[in-house]
Amino acid sequence: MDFTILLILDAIILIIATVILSYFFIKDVFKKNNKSNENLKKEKFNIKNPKNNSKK
Amino acid sequence: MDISIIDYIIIILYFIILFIIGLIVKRKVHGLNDYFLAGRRLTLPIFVATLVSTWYGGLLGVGELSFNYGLVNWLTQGFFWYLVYLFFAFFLANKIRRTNLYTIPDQLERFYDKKSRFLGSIFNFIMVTPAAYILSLGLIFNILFGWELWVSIFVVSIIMIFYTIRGGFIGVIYTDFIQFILMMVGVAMIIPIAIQKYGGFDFLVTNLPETHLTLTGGWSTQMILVWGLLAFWTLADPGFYQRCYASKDDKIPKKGILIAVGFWLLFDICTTFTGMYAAAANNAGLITAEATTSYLSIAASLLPPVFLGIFLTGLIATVMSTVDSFTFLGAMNISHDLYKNIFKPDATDKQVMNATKIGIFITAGFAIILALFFDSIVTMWYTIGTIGISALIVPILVGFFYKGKKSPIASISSMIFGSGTSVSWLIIGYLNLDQWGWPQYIAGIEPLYPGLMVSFFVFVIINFIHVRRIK
Repeated sequence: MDFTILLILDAIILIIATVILSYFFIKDVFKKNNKSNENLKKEKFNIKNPKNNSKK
Repeated sequence: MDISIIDYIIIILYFIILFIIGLIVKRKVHGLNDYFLAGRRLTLPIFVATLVSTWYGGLLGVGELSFNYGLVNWLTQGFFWYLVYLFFAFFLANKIRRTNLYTIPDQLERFYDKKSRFLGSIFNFIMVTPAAYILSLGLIFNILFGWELWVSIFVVSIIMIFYTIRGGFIGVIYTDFIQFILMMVGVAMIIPIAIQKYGGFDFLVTNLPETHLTLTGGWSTQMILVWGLLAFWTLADPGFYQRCYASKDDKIPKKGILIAVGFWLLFDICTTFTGMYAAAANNAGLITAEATTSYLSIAASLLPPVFLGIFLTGLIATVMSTVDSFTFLGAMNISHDLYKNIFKPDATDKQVMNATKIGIFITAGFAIILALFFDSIVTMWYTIGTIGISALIVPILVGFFYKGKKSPIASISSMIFGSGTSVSWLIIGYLNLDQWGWPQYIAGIEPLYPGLMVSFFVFVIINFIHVRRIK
């Protein structure tokens, strides 16, 4: 294959790989933020309702 | 350089985003573990983005090498390093994560003793000095905005200090992500445009010296091997260790490094050929470029507004991501390795965090002084790498792979004599410059060889004697 085409392919693959990784990065960060928000809500709820802290 | 208003706006927008991240991210820091290691919660994509962007900081140095020597840049700055990354991924990464520590000096204390930690901290600090990268940014700003070099260096340092102090490692990770996208897109788009405007591979063949298109670039085998040995830097690189410690589990580092190698491979090909296109266009009289700033010259001649802005921001981001990480690592060295573990073991988390913030100023200050003193990025890499590697590699590798009894005295002696030999060799070389201003080393041998040899043999001999005496 012509070396010039390989060079162009290299640049295209780099951009595609960057887009894919960015997608998963954002997905992970949002998942983590949602989780920590949920935990925060639970903690606040437990502080307001101490009964929920006792084990059944 | 001819830069339009829209390009300046893109660059300024990038800095505003960094600033906003600095403001927001502080809320996410709930303790020392968050501040140092983002709570050890790095998932695979986050690990890859932060490792790829942090590790790649010397873009102008790479431009200098590929402009001056061509493909040999890929061999010395790419290929050799991939081999060491693979070794790191398969034999070290998971081991490091399992130890649940924070820094390289932590490992030295685990293998040997507190004195080894202390000495290791000093060499570690030298290795993470972001001086070469601050100089790179200073040069870029100097060209873009026309500011004096020292003004550029100070402005860059102040912005970086702001968001690093506020967010710690979490701040570094979020900004790394933005920087990761910018550096990849910025570098990838220039090659197709260069091919379209100047022509394909034939343009390079016509306008470059033959040596530029050979893998050895006309370099001596010894010189190539020394750069190959410098790739061992990876095995003692605090940035690699920090990301391994911070990953969510012990499988992520290995997978993450393997994916990162793929990114570096694609990226290195783009950067090497960009430098070569700049040299060819310069030889053909199409642009006027200097080696160190060749990327800026070729981008200004090729790219239309907006694209130029993205490329320049990518260039700045590539370096910035390394500057912030290295500065933070240097600060951790001061606060965690020296302040907390040597001088004030009863320090509270808050005191350690405050010491880290002071450490950020100290590390940045030290780097600024070095950046103003040296004038070549490549020389700075070479000098810092030679000293740091000849001190740290042997004690670290022995610690991880030698199962027998290890003597702390052997570790300390190995660090002192290894680095001492390299430094003496460097000084003698610089006292005997040739007619072109290049250092003339004893018997023409580069300083890293004797440094590593002495470090290794001193360790083996003293360890043998000391362990026998203890028995």
